[in-house]
Amino acid sequence: MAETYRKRGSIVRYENGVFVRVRESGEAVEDGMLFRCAPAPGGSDAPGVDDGELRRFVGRVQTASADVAIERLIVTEGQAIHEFAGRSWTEKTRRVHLSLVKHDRRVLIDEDTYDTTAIDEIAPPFAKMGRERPAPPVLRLAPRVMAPLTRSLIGVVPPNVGLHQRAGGMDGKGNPILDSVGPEWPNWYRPSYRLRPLRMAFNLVATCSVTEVNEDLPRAIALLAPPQGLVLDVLCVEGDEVYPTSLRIIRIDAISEPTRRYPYGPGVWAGEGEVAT
Amino acid sequence: MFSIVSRDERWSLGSPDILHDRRLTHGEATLLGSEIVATDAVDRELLDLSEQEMSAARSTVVGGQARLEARIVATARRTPASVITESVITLSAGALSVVTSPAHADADRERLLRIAAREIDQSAHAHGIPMIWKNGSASVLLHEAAGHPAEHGHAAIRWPGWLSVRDEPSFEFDDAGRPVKAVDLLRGDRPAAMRRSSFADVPLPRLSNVVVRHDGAPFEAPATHLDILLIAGGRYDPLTATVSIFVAAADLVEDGVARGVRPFVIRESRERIASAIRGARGEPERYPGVICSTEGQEIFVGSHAPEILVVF
Repeated sequence: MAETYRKRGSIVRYENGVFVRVRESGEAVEDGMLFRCAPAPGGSDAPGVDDGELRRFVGRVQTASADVAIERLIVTEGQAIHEFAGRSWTEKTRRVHLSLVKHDRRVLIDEDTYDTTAIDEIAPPFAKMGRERPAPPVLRLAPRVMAPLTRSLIGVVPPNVGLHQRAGGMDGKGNPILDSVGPEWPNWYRPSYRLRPLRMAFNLVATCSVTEVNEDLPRAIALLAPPQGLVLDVLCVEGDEVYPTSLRIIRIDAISEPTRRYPYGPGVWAGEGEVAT
Repeated sequence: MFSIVSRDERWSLGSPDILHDRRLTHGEATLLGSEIVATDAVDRELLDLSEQEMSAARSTVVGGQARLEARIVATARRTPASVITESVITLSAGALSVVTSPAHADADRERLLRIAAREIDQSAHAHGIPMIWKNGSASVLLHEAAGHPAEHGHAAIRWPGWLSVRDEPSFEFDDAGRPVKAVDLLRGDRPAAMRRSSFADVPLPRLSNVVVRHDGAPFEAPATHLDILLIAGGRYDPLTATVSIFVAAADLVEDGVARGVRPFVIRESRERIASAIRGARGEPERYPGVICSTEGQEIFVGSHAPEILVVF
């Protein structure tokens, strides 16, 4: 039987100096093997977005990043009404993607709140970063480094680490997102009406049998490139030294309780990690 | 005001042909100072034009016997100055693909099938063996090594004096409605055309049609060399000025005998690439295959190059 999904919404996006305001409405139909989608009437009824907070945040990012250069800043704020199978639900989204550069290195920051704490923590050490060094044999990974790594663990998770979906919010078919340990994830991810929904883990959390992280270890505070599986390029702080390093994770020794949600796919909750390289 | 209608279909070709996805997108955008206001309003003329484009493109790929994956994107766009239509067909066989048009779909399908049928039993890497970039594939190398640096406004570097790499748009007006012109990418000229993937995107200075030419730099094929046949993708990192080329299909040729080589990656600075280009022969040949992605915006870029000899 054909399933029909409708979405109408607005988004404001700041993209490297330009504000883009989009209002639209669309419909997607899954009919057996065939997926089809098209704009649908109702775009003019889409809820509007107040961009005042977004505009102020852009200004705050530029101030907080004063010691380094901004290569890319994309900030989005959206509001949508979804309809599927007689259910209707609303959603508000925020997303920040920032890359800061110094010489030939870039730091990547992805957030789902208008919070400059990450920039405040990363930009000053990044500005005084020294030469590349070999990775420490054991180090800590800040939650914002653990978060993009977490999805790479699916399928290769070691025995002392668990992955599960944390309940909260609605999925792409209007079902509540439930606690789940997978591997058959119960919820559907649909980031756009133009994409087929896929079963994926929402609010993914990695947990470890050990939750106490050694706070005396060097700490990777930011990613310098997207993770390649279990290989990471990171900005590392060791005492007063700040340096870039490349590492391959061979063991996860501890993961603390998750502290923050990050906007990788349908969300990741991450805590601090302790890993061997 | 900019308006666009885009139709996008994905097919599994063979017997039978199966349509998996059919997408229609339309909208218009107005630039107000540093702000773009966009809605999904429809331009009826563009809607009809895009359907005509899709219908013509579809008829060139469905109904064949070969098992291939196909994506067809047909667009019609309007600026204050012009209306432009375009059909882009991507045909894939496993990890190999070509990007073609209705006019060239038959020839490019045969080329793809011929390349896909080769036996692969060799390994290679980018250093120490001369490479002859065939089928116009050198246009991808120079798209990355000269085109993207020009988009970023990077300073020109030293290239062989006999080499020319230009961006020569095949349309008169860009997506911002401004007239465009050909530019010299080796001189560092920024592409003249502002292009956008959809009504919700910011127009950016982008390549449109990369044409590589030469003037008096002939070469003889070394007895042992690699023939570069198809590229899976390329990347230019503006921060490190490093080019990455993902070679999807190449042959190791030894004394006239060609054997298929596994995919490999070339990762070099643009200066190293400039100094590795040793010669060229023949007329520029259309390369079937560049969908360029910048800031998440995918656009088709025409690509033409003669055979080029490269030795790292």
